[in-house]
Amino acid sequence: MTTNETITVTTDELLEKTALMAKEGYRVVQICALTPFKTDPENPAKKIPLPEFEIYYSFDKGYALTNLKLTVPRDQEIPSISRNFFAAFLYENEINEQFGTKITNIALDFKGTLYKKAKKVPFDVYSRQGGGQ
Amino acid sequence: MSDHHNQQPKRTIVPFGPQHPVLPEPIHLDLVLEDEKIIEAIPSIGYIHRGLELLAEKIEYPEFVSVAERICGICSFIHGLGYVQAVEDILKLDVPTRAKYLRTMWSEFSRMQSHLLWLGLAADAFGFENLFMASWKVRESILDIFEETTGGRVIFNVCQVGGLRKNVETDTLRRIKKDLDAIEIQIRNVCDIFVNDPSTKHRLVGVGILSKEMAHELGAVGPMLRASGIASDTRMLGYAAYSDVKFDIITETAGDCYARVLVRINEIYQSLSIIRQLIDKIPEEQVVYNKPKANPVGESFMRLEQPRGEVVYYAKGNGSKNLERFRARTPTFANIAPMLHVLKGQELADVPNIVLTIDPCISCTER
Repeated sequence: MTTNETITVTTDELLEKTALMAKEGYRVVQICALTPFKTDPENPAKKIPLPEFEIYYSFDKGYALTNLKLTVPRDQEIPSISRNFFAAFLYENEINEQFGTKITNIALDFKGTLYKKAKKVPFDVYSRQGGGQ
Repeated sequence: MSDHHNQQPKRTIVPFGPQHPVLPEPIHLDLVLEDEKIIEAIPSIGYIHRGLELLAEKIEYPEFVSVAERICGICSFIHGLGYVQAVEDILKLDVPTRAKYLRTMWSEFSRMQSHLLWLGLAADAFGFENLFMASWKVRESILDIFEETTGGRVIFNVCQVGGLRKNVETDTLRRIKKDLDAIEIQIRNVCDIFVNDPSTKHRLVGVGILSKEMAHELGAVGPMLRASGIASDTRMLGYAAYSDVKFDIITETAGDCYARVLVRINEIYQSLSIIRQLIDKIPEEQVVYNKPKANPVGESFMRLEQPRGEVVYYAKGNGSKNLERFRARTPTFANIAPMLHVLKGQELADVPNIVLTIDPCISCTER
């Protein structure tokens, strides 16, 4: 079955780590953002979004999947890895538009125009709520 | 030298899509041209974005498989399978072996019908109407098998977390195996034209070449990757019952549109072989479902091989009935960057063939 390894990284380590992985022949598999939640103590059924993003960068080498997990505050800029893995540009543009992350210096930056929709980006409901707080 | 000679070639931007005869689904490309040559292609999507991933937060996890299947009408079964496998992985839930075999069989029928659908679209794109109709006629036979075994031709709803909603009688499977002989003859009749006809080769050989190095660097997946000479197929991970059948990774080395056709055609024959092996080996079990005993807590990355290539699902559960996050990275999404690279330097007339040979599935891409 799938071999998975998840390594926690900081924004400072992200570019250095991905540059090394690019040299070692890894392939970018996917980038996924998510909004972590905490449970409301007064109403366990209610989820309260935390003011941060978790981003998973997944890479493959010989069928082994390596995930870099980055946790950042909502308003913090995140450096693009598209200079190390060009294919990352599409994922990063998508995440910016769907979640309102601030991924900067993308090799091909659509600046909010990847999704041709009347609705303004980002689509993320939690961004619209000011981080859910 | 006169000013006339110093002038830069005039550039024109030609919009390609979202409505175009070769596009079954909408995607838009801005093609920057010098004369008839493409200098740059800039994509934009969003015409059919439905926010399906967000629905995972609102629909209870056992029911969400129905939504996962609706990510796409062509790859529907494998989307459902990927979702349930991700949740089963979080739950550490064992699935009955017969269910795994049936899941694998339907995955391969999905690959066959998807490739046949694509072959028809490709034939239509380069103006071979009869071949288009012949490909889709054979595809109907596969859909008939789906209908008989699952009850559906497009959306199946047969997978569920823990196994399957229904079993298939062994006698039915044996008869299907016999029927495959006649279907294979029909497939060979169609595919031999694709492989050997001079008009097909004329439009596809040497067009839209993706080198092995660029295929890797740009993150290509599926037939797009394998046609460039890289042997990578997620089925080798051995999920479902793939570890119980013998098959090789099909590759070509030319990296052009024709090589991508050859990979898909050979994968159809390979799927026939895998299905026959599965039917021969399937264990006799009445139970095809193990009920989950808890809500999922934890996360999982699940990779499967769609007809278009590697698909990745991420699921995160927090102990409630709803997942906290579900994410699907589809093969077409991964193949957009390689497609943009391949389009550079090509003639405008070849754009439809090149776009089609990545087998674009925009519903999947946008979710």
